[in-house]
Amino acid sequence: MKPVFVVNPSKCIACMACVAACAIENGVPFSAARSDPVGWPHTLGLRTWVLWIEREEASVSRVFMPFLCLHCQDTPCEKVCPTRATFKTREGVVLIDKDRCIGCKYCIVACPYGARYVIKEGSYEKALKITRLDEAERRLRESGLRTSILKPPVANRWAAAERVVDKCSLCYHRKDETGSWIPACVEVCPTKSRAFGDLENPDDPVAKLVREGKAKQLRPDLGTNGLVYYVL
Amino acid sequence: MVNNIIFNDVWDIDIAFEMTLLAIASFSIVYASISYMGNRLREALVGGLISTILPIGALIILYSHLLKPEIAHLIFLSFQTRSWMLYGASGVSLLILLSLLFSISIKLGVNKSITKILGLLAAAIGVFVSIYPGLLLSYERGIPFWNGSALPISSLLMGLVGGSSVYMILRPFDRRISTVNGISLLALVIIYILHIYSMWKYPLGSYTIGLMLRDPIFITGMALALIGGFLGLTPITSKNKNKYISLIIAILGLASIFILRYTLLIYGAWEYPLI
Repeated sequence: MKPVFVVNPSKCIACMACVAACAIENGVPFSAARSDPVGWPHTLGLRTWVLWIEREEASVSRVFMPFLCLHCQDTPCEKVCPTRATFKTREGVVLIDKDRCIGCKYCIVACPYGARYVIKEGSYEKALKITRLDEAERRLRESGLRTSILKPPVANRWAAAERVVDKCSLCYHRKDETGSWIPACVEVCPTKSRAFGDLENPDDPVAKLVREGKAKQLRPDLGTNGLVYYVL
Repeated sequence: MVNNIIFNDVWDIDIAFEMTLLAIASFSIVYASISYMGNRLREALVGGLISTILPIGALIILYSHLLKPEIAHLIFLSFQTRSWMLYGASGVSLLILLSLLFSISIKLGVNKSITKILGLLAAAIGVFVSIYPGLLLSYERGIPFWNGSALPISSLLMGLVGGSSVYMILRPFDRRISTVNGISLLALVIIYILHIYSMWKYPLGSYTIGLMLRDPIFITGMALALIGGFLGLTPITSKNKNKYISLIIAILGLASIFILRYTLLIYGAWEYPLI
């Protein structure tokens, strides 16, 4: 399988279901109180985010731009990683081995797209202290429905962890015996703004968007050749 | 195309300080090696010790900057030859080792040829250590302000200024050292101006550079470098019999390389692409 991720910003309604799904799937410290319209994984500390872009040209318009690691095939972050913690899988997915990451943050500097960030020590406790989340957590415990809404790092080798650099893993842990998978953010997207496919499958509708040139890479001038494409 | 500028907040003043320590150490050992060949043993020993102690300080700063310092040894074990960090860590470690051996050799009066070879090897590593921060930064294609060939050259010049400043304190009346210091400082200013000029071609380069140009910290750094550079080349210095003038010029040089390095780091900005 050669994965390909296509984002269509014109279909995005910024419901943030993808952000929540990603945080829950991968145990990223997340607060529903966050409301920044502008920011990057690098600045917000999330694996994926939806940016609001407001333009005033002929008329005022707003575009929602889902953003995640582009999984570059000419990978700047992999090249600079001094401990080989960042590596590419056979399929081309860029992952971080948390046991090898020393947290030098060189990869954060090297990523031209702001897709990497650090989960600092104590981030989980800090997220729980945010009033709304704390309150919801207490009520849920009292109701006996669930023990926690803030999931600790889940049993997923590529899940978020403290004291290391983190980024989107394209939910690689979901890969099944057939070698295929669907990322959590794609699964929950109600408008199909995010789509995931196989470039090696000639019948794949997502791959077709790329083959027909309807979906394009961001900043081709940087030559990073990512797996993530945008219909712009 | 809509862009979003985010300034570098990963490498800040602590890394600027660390790079400045390396700059000072890098050419101090070059001067130490030259001093040894000129039979000035005390100056050679002081230079050797400076080039041993300052890189240790730099490594401590780097070590404290890591999120998981307990596994820092993986930098060497992984042998990732595509990462400048491996070359940097190896270069700094070698500089410490060779400078220490050089200093011990001088102190113990070991065979002159061996000490000379140790000094020359340490000096070669020192030159590499001076260029390395510039190489590391210039490979970042996402940050236009760093992604240029001027950075390794400016790093080399900062190393020259660092080493010259130390030796202006040790040999305040040596005209050659003050000349090297003056030329290096003025060349550094010229390189910075040329680099800044080359940035105007970027869509938003003018924005970040504009902010930097009006920053009092940057203005101070450039002014100190200019004053230090001119003073180092004037007859006042060449006929100088007052060691405090040399001391002032040395301090101007050291302060300017620290400030210019700091502004270089904090004004490194990503121009994140949108649509």
